[in-house]
Amino acid sequence: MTPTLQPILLADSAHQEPGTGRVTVAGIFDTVSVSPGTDYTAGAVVFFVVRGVHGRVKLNLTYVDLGDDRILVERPVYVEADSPLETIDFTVRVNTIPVPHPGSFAWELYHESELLGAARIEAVYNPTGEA
Amino acid sequence: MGGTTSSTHGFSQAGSGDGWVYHTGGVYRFHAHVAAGPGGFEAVAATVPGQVGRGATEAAALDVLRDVLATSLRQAITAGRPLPKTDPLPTPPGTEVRVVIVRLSGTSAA
Repeated sequence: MTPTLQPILLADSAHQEPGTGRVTVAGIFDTVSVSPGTDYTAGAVVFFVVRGVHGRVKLNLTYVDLGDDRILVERPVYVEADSPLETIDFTVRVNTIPVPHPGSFAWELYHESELLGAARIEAVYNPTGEA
Repeated sequence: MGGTTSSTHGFSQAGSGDGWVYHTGGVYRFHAHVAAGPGGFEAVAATVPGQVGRGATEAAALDVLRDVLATSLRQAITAGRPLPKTDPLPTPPGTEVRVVIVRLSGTSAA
């Protein structure tokens, strides 16, 4: 069974409220601005929601340069559910987002060889030269 | 008016230090269109012209396509030119989109 991705977002932070279980995702963004020759180091979270998971399933989260299809960052992510009807909110912290050049990049989530979804981001150079 | 809200979703977090791998080069991902035919499966790279893999199973066709792409990438790197790339082809009817990851070399853990 292939998991179904609902949203995938890049944001400043995400946390779960104790008691209610509600999740707050703050500071959603799709553009990073950096000084030339530097990476984005302010930190971020990749937040996504999946259903259709039964048992423990390995997903792969990758950050891809859409200009030449290079994978710049990746990691496995393990999600677990007792029932495929269960909805899983997942947040992954990333400290540094590489910006080798201005252009288009994407956070992509895979299950085996299937692309579940992607969050595209644009990287621009700050004209003032400030990060 | 009134009431409260809550969520029954499962919630998981992964920290920044565990599991990320930063690549300095040599790892690529390509989209492929995969279709079943009378003789097995065919996987066609969606953005790189002329790159095709065939096999008895979908996995075998993707493995062949991975090898074909790796060879083309090595040749392009040796020649100092980028791999030819087109806009993604429309997904043909009866095909599934799959991801092929090609690992040449040059990775570093962070």
